[in-house]
Amino acid sequence: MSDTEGAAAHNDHHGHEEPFWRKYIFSVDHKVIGIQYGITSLLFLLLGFSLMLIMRWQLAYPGEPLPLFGFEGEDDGKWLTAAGVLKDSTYNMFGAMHGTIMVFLGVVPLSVGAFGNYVMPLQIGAIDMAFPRLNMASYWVFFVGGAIMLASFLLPEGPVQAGWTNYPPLAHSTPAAGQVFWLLGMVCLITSSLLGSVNFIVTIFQLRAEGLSFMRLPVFVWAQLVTAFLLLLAFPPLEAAGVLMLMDRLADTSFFMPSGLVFTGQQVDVSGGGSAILWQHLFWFLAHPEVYVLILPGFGIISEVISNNIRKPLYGYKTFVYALVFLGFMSFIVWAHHMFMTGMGPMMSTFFQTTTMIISVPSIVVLTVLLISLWGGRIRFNTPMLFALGFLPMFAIGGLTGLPLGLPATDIHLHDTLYVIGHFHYVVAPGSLMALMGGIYYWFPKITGRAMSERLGKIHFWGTFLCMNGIFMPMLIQGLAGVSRRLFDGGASYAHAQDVLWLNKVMSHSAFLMAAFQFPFAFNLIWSVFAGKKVGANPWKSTTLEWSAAPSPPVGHGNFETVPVVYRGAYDYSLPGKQEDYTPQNEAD
Amino acid sequence: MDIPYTVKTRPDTGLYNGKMGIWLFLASEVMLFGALFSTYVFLRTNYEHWPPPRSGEALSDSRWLAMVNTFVLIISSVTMVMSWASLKLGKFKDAQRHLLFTLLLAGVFMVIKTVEYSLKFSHGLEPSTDVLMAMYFTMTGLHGLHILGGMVVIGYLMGPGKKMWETEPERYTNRIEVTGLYWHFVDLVWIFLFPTIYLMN
Amino acid sequence: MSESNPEAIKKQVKAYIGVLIALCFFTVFTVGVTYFHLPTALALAIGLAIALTKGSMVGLIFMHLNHEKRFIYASLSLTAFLFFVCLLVPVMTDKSSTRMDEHMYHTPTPAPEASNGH
Repeated sequence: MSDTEGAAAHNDHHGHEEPFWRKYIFSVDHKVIGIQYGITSLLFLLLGFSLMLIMRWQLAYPGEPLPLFGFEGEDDGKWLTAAGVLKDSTYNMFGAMHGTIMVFLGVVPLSVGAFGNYVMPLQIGAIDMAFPRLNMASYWVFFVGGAIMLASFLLPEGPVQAGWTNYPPLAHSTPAAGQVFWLLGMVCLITSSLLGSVNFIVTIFQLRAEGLSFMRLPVFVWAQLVTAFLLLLAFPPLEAAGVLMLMDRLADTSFFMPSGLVFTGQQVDVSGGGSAILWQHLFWFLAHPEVYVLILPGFGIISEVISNNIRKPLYGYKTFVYALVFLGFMSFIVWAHHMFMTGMGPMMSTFFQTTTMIISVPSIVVLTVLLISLWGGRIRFNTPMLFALGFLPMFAIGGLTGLPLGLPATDIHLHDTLYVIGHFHYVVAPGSLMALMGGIYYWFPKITGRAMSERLGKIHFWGTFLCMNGIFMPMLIQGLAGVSRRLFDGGASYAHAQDVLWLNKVMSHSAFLMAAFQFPFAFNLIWSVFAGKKVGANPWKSTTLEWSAAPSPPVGHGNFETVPVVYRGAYDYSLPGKQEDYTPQNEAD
Repeated sequence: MDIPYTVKTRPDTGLYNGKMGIWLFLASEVMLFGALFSTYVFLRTNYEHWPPPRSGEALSDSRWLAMVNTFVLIISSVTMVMSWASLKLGKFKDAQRHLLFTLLLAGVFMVIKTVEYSLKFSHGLEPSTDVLMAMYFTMTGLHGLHILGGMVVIGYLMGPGKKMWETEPERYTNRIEVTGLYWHFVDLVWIFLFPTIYLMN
Repeated sequence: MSESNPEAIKKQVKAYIGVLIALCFFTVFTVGVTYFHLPTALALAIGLAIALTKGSMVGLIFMHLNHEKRFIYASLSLTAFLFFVCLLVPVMTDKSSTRMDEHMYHTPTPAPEASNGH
């Protein structure tokens, strides 16, 4: 599609090589785009993590000047007070941007943009995505959105500070510029996602190799397919809400500001007639499916890694697939469980609590399928497998702690406390993020043709796994004690929080320790690109199609030597009568 | 590298890539405008005495201009689909003529819309006046942006894009069909927007 | 893309013109109805019905939905379901506008001050 030469002719002779900027910057090759997403999202994850480390200092040592940066000055600066202490507005800004960056610029681009783009076409035996130029556009629009979000830090009054959820009327009382930048950034990110999801769905339906029926697809592809549908249909209402809020900030409308609102004794000057609840509905209509977008690719990665390292077929493949599809569908009709405290009345809260309880079932099915699959397997404990195995109990804790939040009666006590933060971080951090780390170790040999160090990988795993529990378990305890979220002093000024305040130090020190454990990972990742041990096409002895492509498949010259034809399901390990304990999908009987 | 099924249809889905892609995109657009209609329903049911008097009257007065615009868009939908039909019959010049009409009609739509907006402004009615004005400007404005986007694509297919008819006529025809689907959708949104904004107050 | 022969295309063109005329008629009709100043609920119902009719014609005939593929029908059905969820559920959760709970639950009405201000 990018040039008019015929396919066969182009594959035979490499007549013209594309210039560097066409081949690696504005590339239409899914592998390059996947790596671009990967590098960008990892950098954003690092930024989001750093913001949180600064916040965690404040929480452990409220009122003390920041180390290194907190030197005393004449007046309050933009970020710090005169005494070098983190300002309360800064804490709020970092909190809001931490959430925004981690969700929209970190985890999703890594899960979908990086892993999805790189691995999925290879796993279905395709030469690229259905719309390569659209794919490139998706990345660059994402890049622009990220740049706008970053630029908001440079604004005189700083970025948004009303949480990643940006609820009006609080959001409307914060400086306009930061809000506008966030909204414009979100419009870009949403557009990028929408274009990407169209690409993913068409690719999976239209470009599967011959013989690759839906029930022979690797679970990773199914996960990406469901995720794409979630992104496609759930994001637009938030885009609409973004447009409405932009109108509020730039054209003085009041879609989200009711009439008769009074701030600090003064009537607010707006045309009125709006509703703050409307924003919550439109926001959560997306944001609930968004959390499934955060976890589903992780489920997919874990399935691939576990299937590969038990050396036997995955138990309950069909059940798994049905659970994923059902989960995706249900995710659209649970959103108001984030809004139980807005006064919606027993009938509607009953509806949402019921759907929320139902949606826990497919998640349990997924965990059960994976756990039962371990039984009787010849388990290999390499680094990806450690992350996958660690994921299972962590996601279980995250999921279970969601249940009291999904029931209005208990949510009354737990809403907007640290318990909520503990719950969702368990699913996203030792959940999704660990799954993604496992995925990096797993597919690194395919992307680069080299292996990462197993020893450094294991150090990284154990440190991360243990520290994450040190950070997020105490949150559950503090939340049960009633400590509210988003308090810049960590609850220090509340009597009911005094008994659990010491946990702030535990959490912060765990976070600092976890930061230290990321150094082996970063070093391993970068060093192995240049000096890792070279490996063949299929070092993990896996059955799925991507492993029959060359190690580090070349850019712009098709992915496979010969077009693959598929003869079997995705996880034919230890077939009786076979020499090897794995039979690739494209191997005929 | 040639991506399969850009022109011929894949047997099990019965679709070529572009057609599947545009329908998926339109599904997301249904959700986008759906959220805006949801906003309208939500804010209107919450409003004490609908409509806000000045805006309600001004929009009722504008209904004739808006009705003309409705005709304009409907006819442009016909010319758009006729363009595709002409290409299926191999009549390239006819197809280009129909595309031109579509483009011109879209231009007329935007001009009438501009006139409408100026009339509002000259009466001191703007988005910040009240909820109805806010909804009116936002919904018709976003719809107008979609018209502009469509005009850019049609302009491209009449300009640099038309060379593809010489080398890959079927693929060019598919592009016209896909653009047509987008265009009909924009017409469809207006069919619901027109009574909601102008006739229901 | 389903029919490529000239005869079928010419038949389609006849259908397009027919729909054009019908759409113009319905447009005039929907504006004309506003002159009767009907009660709000009835006016909304009629307006919606006309819009749905016009919309169906555009969808079925112009957009060829009368003979499309299963994938399209399935995707659009899911979308339609979600569209209605997004359209109706927020309003249903809003107690002040719908009063649904007052019909559902037979709680004794408290003193006026207690039920205001929520």
